[in-house]
Order: sequence, then structure tokens, then C-alpha cells
Amino acid sequence: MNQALKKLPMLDKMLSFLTAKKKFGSYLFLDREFLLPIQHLHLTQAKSVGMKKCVIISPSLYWVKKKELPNINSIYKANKIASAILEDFTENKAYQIRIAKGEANEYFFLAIDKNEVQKRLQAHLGIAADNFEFTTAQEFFVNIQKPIELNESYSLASIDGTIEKVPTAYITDSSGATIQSFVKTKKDYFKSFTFKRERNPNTASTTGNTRRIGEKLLLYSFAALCIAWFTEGIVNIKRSFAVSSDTQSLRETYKLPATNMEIDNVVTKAKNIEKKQNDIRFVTKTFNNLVLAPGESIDSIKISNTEVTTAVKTTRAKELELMIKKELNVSTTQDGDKTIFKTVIK
Amino acid sequence: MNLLDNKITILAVAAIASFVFAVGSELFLDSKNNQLVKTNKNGLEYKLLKESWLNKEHSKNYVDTLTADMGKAYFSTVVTKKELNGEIYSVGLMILNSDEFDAIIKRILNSNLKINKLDIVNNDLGYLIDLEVTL
Repeated sequence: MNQALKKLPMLDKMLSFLTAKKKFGSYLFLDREFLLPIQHLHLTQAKSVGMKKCVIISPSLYWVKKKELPNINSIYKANKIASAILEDFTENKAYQIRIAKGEANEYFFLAIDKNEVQKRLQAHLGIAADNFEFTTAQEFFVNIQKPIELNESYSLASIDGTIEKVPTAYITDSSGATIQSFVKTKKDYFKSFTFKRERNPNTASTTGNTRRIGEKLLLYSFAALCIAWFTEGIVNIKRSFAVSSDTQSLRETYKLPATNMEIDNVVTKAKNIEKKQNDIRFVTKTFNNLVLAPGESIDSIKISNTEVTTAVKTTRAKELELMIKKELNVSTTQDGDKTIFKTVIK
Repeated sequence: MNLLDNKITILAVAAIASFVFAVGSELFLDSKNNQLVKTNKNGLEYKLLKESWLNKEHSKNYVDTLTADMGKAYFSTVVTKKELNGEIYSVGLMILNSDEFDAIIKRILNSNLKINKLDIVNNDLGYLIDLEVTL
């Protein structure tokens, strides 16, 4: 149990890639009038998150409509009515629609001026918007209690939940909080987005969701395939070991020699013996079964490893030779009244 | 590339790796199965051939049983020689009855004895058999 508990941190580390974490090394606050670089959140995180940048879009670059929707309790459902609420913007491809959730059933429908954002980024950094991920001030600074100072001239403030850019001079209850200090302490998770894959503003937000659902399906499919194939692999390996064990048992049952070469030697030797012995028996049986006429007889059969010699007392040697030659390859010699038949055993 | 894309990439690579692992293990299992079949086939052949032609004990017992029947089952037959020199077993038989001769020859030829030499001489009295086998 203790060992298992000790392993928990290691397991947690292994599974850490599956858990959501802060992924941006630094932020850029993009306003219609200025670009504000914000330092990295925590220096210790820099190693793991790299130097990815997230652009926070200022309220000056999007339109916002706040709605209280009592029967709607998720952004996913709010998405479905976004086109009705932002009908002026959804028909225009230059705007990207985002929805941010406020308190209770409050929703903020945002129409981001994509062209303006891209133009500003290009002007300030000379880099296309495709290289960044984005969030809006409404999503990033949700639920702030006190105004946050952007620079000497401007601050962000929550006015009835809507994040607005206001002149710093108008702020009366300044807490002294700056955007740098805010991002360092921000711990809330927020969803970033990109411009490059959005194709149709009419369905921009739903496309984003569909894409995410598609990606998740892909993710689960890969995970399922991974598990299935890995399991199959493990089962196959396990079966292979069982088969190996069966093979070993067979070797012991048949008392097989250790190597295949030894087995082959024994089998070859036995097969050679079998062939020679079968030949000897075939030749002997052929002579023994010879049909002889009255007065004829087999005087002797001499069998060795190399030849079979048969002496037959007969007066019709040629006839017998022809009969034997149907079965065997024989040579014939005459020895008095005996005919000697010789057959070579190979 | 966002976190989800990263996970997809990692899992896609893992899926490919596990697919390769599954295919590899399948091939490994096939090779093991083939090895099992081959071992079984070779084992049967090895056992059969070894028991048939390389079984010294069986060969010796066979010759002993055959000669023990002489004068009993084959009443007209006499064992004239019976010598065991190393792995060479030599037996001499004199058979007076042709039926007994046929039966004895059949027993010798239908056995798995390794015949080195088999001399059969037919004379006026009967048949002389000189058998030499390797155990």
C-alpha cells in the first residue's frame, strides 16, 4: 500500500499531459491604439509551456451584447441562438463570434473584428494572425472586481459584468492592480481560439464546437485503437509464450535431441536404414514367391548389405530372368545346371 | 497547435506504435505456432523411425523370442548357432519342414530387424538359414 502511494506522484506525472494546464508563456494585449506585451506568468512554467503567446483582444476590437438567458445553462446551447442575437455580424464574414459566460445565466455575445485584429497585429509585429492564439478581454478578465490598469491612459473595468476599456483618469476606486500583476496571479482556465480555421462566420462558433467534438472523437478513437491494439499485442505475446511452453513439452514427450541438426541426423540415418532394409525384403520376397515348375528349385539365397545372390536349379533360365526382370534389375550367370541371379542393393 | 492537437498527435503516434506492436506480436505468434506444428511432425517421425529401426532392445528380444520358438512352435527346427558379438547377433537354423521354413522366413522379413546377412541354402535334408543382424 505504501509503495503504491509512493508511486502516485510518478503516475500523476505520467498522466499530466492529459490534464489541462496553462499553456502560454506570455501574453499580448492588443488594442485599437496600442499593443501591450505582458511578461510570462511564472518563470518556472516557462520550461514546460515554451514561449507560446496568446493575444488578448481589447474591447475596442469587438462588439458585445449582454443577454440574460434563464433557460440556457451552457455556452454550447447559447451558441445556437448566437446568430439571432448578433444577426448584423453573423452575416458578415469579417467578424468572428465568441460567447463568454458571466454570472448565473448571463451570456456575452462577442463579434470580433477579425480584419482589424489582423491589421493591427501586422502593423505592430509584422506577423500574421495565423501564428497566434487569441482570447477576448471579456473571457480573460471575467469576474474582475476592481479596475485593472493597462497603461497610464487606459484601464479595464467591469461595468455590470461587461469588460470595458475606460480612461484611467475616470477611475475613482483604483486598486492599483496592473495587467502584469493580474496575469501573474490568474489561475482560471480559459479557452483560446484561432482565426485560421474559421471559415464561415454564420457558423463560426458552432464550427468551432463541431471541430472540437470532432477532435475529441478522433482523440477517443485513437485512444480506443491504442488500447485495442496494445491489448491484442499483449494477448498474442502471452499466447506465444504458452505455445513455446507446449513446444518444449512436446520435445520432452518425444525425447527429442536438443538441436534440430541432431534430430535431422537421426532421422536421416533411420530413413537410410529403412530404405535398405525394405529393398532387401522386397528382393528376397520376389525370389521366394517365384513360381517354379516341377523339378525346379531354389538352391540358395544369399543376402548381404550390397547384393542378393540367388541360385536356382532350372532349365528355363531365360524365361525366369524375364519374369524376375519385371520386378528387379538382375544380372544372370550360369553355373552348371544352376542359374545365378544377382541383384545389387543400393 | 493547441493541447487537444498535441494529445491527438501523441495518441496517433501511440496508435501507430501499438498497431505495429500488434502486427509484430501476431507474426511472432504465427512463427511460434508453426514451430509447434513442425516440432510435432518431426517428433512423430523421429519417434516412429527410432522405435522401428534404432531400437536395440527390441531387436535383441525379437531374435531371442524367435529362437526360443525353435523346437517348440517349430518342432522340426534346430538352432545351430546363436552368438552375440557387440552389436552383431548371429543365428544359425536348420529347418526340415518347408511350411516351417516359410513361416520363419516370413517372421524374419516382416520384422524391423536390421539384416546384415541372410543365407538360405536348400539341400537334400532341408533348409539351412544363417542370419546376422545388427542390433
